Amino acid sequence: MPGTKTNTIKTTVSFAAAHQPYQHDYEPIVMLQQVLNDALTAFAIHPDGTSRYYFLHKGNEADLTQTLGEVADHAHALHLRLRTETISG
Amino acid sequence: MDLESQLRLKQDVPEVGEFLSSISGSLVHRDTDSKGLYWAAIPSASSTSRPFIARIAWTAYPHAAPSVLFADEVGGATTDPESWPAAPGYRAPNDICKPFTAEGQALHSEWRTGPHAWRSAGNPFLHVVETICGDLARADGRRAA
Repeated sequence: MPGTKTNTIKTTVSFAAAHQPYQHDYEPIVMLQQVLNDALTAFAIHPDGTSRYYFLHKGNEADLTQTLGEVADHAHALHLRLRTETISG
Repeated sequence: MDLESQLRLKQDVPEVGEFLSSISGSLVHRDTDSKGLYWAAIPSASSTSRPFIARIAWTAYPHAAPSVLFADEVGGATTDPESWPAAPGYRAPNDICKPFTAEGQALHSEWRTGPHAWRSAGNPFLHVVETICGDLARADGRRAA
């Protein structure tokens, strides 16, 4: 319905090797995998399969198959930390 | 180490120290250490085990990856495999073959471009330490010897 406000989740992804965090308002049904894809694009990271990218949330690795709503647990804002693991080396 | 590198390091070091403190670790730079040399004490996953000591040496900050080795103590030797974690790519006691180290970048010229290229944006020191901590957590406290 036009003009209807939805309950979006203000999502922030911080990455130490970036000048600014990635921020976007998402619907709660969006999966973390989608946020990860968007964040990688924002940070100009183009995965080639030799690294793994993941989120830390409250100190633990987040399940990328979960939705933002599940992870946020009724909160209207969510802070995720992007980390990398090199698979080849 | 040039003055620009020293100033940038001085700017980024507090955040690294705060991160390590948040996981019960610490960052050490002694007066006797060269300008770009730091020692990161990172708790082992095994609470009864002594911490890992990462020797992180910057030559040009933030434009080049640091040398990263593991020492038996702050200021100590890096030649004992027991000081090194048993993590993939960590080749005790010689080097860490990963994109975030000078040793890895020197060995893999193909890492100069693409997703493994060194990133000088943000706080590269924090990025290196966070990445090491992630690798150590997955190693679950295991040592190379």
